[in-house]
Amino acid sequence: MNIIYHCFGGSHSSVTAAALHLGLLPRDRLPTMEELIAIPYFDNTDNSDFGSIRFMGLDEYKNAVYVLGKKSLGDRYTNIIHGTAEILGVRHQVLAVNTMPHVNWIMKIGGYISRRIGMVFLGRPLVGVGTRKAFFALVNLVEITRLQTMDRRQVDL
Amino acid sequence: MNIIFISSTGTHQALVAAHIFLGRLHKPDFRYVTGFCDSVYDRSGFPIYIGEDSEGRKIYTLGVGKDVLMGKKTLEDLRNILGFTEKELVIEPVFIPGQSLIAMVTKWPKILGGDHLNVLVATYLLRKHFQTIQKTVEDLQVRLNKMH
Repeated sequence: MNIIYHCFGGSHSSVTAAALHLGLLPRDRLPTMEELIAIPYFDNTDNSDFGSIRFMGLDEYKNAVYVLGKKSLGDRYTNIIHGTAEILGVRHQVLAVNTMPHVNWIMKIGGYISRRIGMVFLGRPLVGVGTRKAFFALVNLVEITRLQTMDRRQVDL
Repeated sequence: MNIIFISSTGTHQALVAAHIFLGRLHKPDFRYVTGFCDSVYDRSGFPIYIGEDSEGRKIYTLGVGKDVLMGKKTLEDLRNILGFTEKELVIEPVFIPGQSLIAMVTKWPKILGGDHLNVLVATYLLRKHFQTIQKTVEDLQVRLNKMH
């Protein structure tokens, strides 16, 4: 199965969720700023990455985990992805997860300053604070997603 | 084969292109185009099935928001990830000048005459640029013929 975490820029909440899914971050404690920065793609995208589905890794069940930046299209993008997979007759192979409901204002402001304005030295620490604040909500989202994928695996078997 | 015409909405220029492709629309008269300017129909984000042509190709429209090229990139990436090629799914963006105006009026509140404004502006622009859409469809047909 292919799991696509998507958020506005595809560089903070979706990347954090994907890293949690892949076990690149601990789930039982808050990560340090260094641990967040070490995640591939974290706060490290530009305008050309919007719309690209980027591979993050394979989880223990060989599910491929991806991240995607979709600007302000919200849950509509989940339907776009699921609908297109449905057309191809492989709806069961894709799970798109919108991480935007867990993004707080600190992440939005930090992300804007770092990615849009380019003042990384100011925006990145803010994003770090915001991500830590949203962290356990993202852990919860990832756990639900993992349960959904396991459920689908059982249906497929 | 499946063909998805994409634009900012799935019920304006993409819908007109789909109907031209299916041979249902030869002149800019949109009165009998089902779902034309229906923003409620378009809101969910799911592709809208329009019909099937004589060669068994299934035609859809899809609204992907203001950044149509971003939507195209995502759909192409998804197609590749799922192991399909252009032979199974063609994603065709439809552009016309002034399309951002259409995207804007679809969001205009209903209570302030949004529906009326939507039909009025879209009909004007799509009539004006009907040939542009016809050209997009013709180019696609040439491409499809080459693919065979």
